[in-house]
Amino acid sequence: MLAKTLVEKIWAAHCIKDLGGIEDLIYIDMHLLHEINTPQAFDRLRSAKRPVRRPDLTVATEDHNTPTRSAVALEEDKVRRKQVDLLRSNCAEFGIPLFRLGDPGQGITHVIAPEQGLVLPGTTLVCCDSHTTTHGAFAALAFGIGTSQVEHVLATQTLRFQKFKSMRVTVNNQLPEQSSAKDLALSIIRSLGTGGGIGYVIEYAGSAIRGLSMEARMTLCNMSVEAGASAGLIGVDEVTVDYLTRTISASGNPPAAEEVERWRTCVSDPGAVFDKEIVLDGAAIGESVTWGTAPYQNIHFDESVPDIDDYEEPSQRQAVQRALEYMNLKAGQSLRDIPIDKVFVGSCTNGRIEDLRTVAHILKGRSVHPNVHMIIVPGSTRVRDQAISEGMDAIFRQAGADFRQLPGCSMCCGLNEDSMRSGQRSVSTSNRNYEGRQGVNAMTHIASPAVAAASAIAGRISRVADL
Amino acid sequence: MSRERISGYGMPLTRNDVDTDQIIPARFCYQPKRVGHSGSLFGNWRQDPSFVLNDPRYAQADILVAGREFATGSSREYAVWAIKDYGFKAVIAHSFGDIFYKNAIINDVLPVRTTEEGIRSLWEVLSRRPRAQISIDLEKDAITWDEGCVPLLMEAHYKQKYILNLDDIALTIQDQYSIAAYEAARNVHLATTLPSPGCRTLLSEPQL
Repeated sequence: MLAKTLVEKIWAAHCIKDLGGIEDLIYIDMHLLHEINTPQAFDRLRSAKRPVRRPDLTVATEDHNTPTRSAVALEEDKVRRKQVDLLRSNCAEFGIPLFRLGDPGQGITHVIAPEQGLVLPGTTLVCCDSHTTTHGAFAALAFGIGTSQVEHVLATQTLRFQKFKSMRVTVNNQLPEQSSAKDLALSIIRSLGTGGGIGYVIEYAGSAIRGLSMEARMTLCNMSVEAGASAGLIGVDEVTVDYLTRTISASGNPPAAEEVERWRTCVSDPGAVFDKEIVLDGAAIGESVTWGTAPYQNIHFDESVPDIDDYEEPSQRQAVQRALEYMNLKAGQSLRDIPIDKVFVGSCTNGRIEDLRTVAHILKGRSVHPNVHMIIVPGSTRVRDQAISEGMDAIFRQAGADFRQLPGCSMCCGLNEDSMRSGQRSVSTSNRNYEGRQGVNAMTHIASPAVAAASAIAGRISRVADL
Repeated sequence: MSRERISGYGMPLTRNDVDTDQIIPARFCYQPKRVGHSGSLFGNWRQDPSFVLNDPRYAQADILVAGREFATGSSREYAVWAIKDYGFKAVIAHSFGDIFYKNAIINDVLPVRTTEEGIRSLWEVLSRRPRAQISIDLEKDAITWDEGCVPLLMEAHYKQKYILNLDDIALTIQDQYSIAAYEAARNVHLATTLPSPGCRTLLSEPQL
């Protein structure tokens, strides 16, 4: 029998029909919705008088534009309120379950779906959000789609899709103790560039990946899209089985033995052939921070901000020049020379309980620098409640950090009240340092939760070792 | 004009890594409609009077010529809607973000790739002669103007999808019996979001 990659196995199990060699019709096991990219899809369903085929395989949450201090802010904001109201009325009309702001279980789509046990190995999952790649951590084929495709899935529970190309990124050895999955993700993106993954699904493999927790794997898969990849995923191992068994058993209904056996088959066969192979040394992954306006523009602490003269190609020189100008940085500067105004801990990349634990551990007994406003936004109400039960809210408060009560995307995408003012500079645990992402003319440095916490204390970009 | 060959005036967007946050910044994505986003296209960059969108020499342009890795990032279909509303019927780039590429074809905006050299040639001719007539020929795999020609790169199935411009949902609904048969044989252990017999459901109670 021909050795198959995990993606080939998932594809074969979901292919309903070969559409004449152009595309395949594939079944979608789970569909996540949020308030921003969906109203147009529901409008068209209504005008075509089409029902939602499987509301029981669909779930919605309010996350992108919602306030994080109190729900009252939403009542007072007409534009954002309208988007949320549309999601509420559309879900009610079409019978789709919805987690409203502040409800138990509400939070960022990519944080709540795994918490609710909705993401299982070997399944397909889509959402109108590019960071849907997160769910690949569970050996699921999960990818972001546009609004028209949302409408297609709502109406048919399928998508017409062309097969992806396959890439395996093998990370050998173990990460150094101070390095996290975020640093690994930034290093992989740096080696691939923004476009290196275009058209590919990346499978992450190797001992460094096996050594990551499920939360860390979600962080890594989340960032796959920043290398241009359609999706990223990791084969099942005992870490996956343990996490899923624990999560699902919490409902009082543990998974069936044959189902656990099925999970274990969700791996690439030995000898499976990938279109592209990349091998990295995990031991060489250092703490990384972006200096520019794209996630691949990142460096280690022992490197300095690059010079355009380091590059020959005119388009690269232009990109570096432009990024340096926007970020108001000079070639040769050290990361530690960059003072900051804001620190954001949260997002679908790093808004999980493990991330908050890392930050609390560093902040305990220390104080946020007086020039810095640090906000910590839990990825879900469950993450918030867990953090409070472990006493983290007190640690955050004593350190002078601003721990928010309502979960959501917040400062990651700058759609709620938490965006930065022009000229402000942040260290952010989110995923994108694009121009204007966190506010018009605001500057973003992407980093791990540990670097974000250390930077908040130091008032400039820093590592824990520097404190 | 046939769908295999379209012609128009080009606008050179001489930048690489133009992500969808630049094409339409998130704060402009609040109108719950598919149309009316023309004024939000490059919402931040167009505040700069020297930005190419404000250059009167390109006021008639209907083909956008971008660089490498155009429209990566956020899945927002608003990016295509804004480009289409502004009057662009095609985008030429060295490479595209995956989600944008599919969104473009679905919305009848033609996304075609060419080589890096091809992009440089097009930027050069458009900076010298803003009114050069650019033709995109899907049959001959060429992007041409009166004095030059660069290769057109587009996979056959995407070409066919663009040329046929069919309603995907209507087509898929024709296969509803195949979908129902697939569903009947589906693994009963998979998660559902609403209670149903024999199926596991959400751990928290959502609103209905």
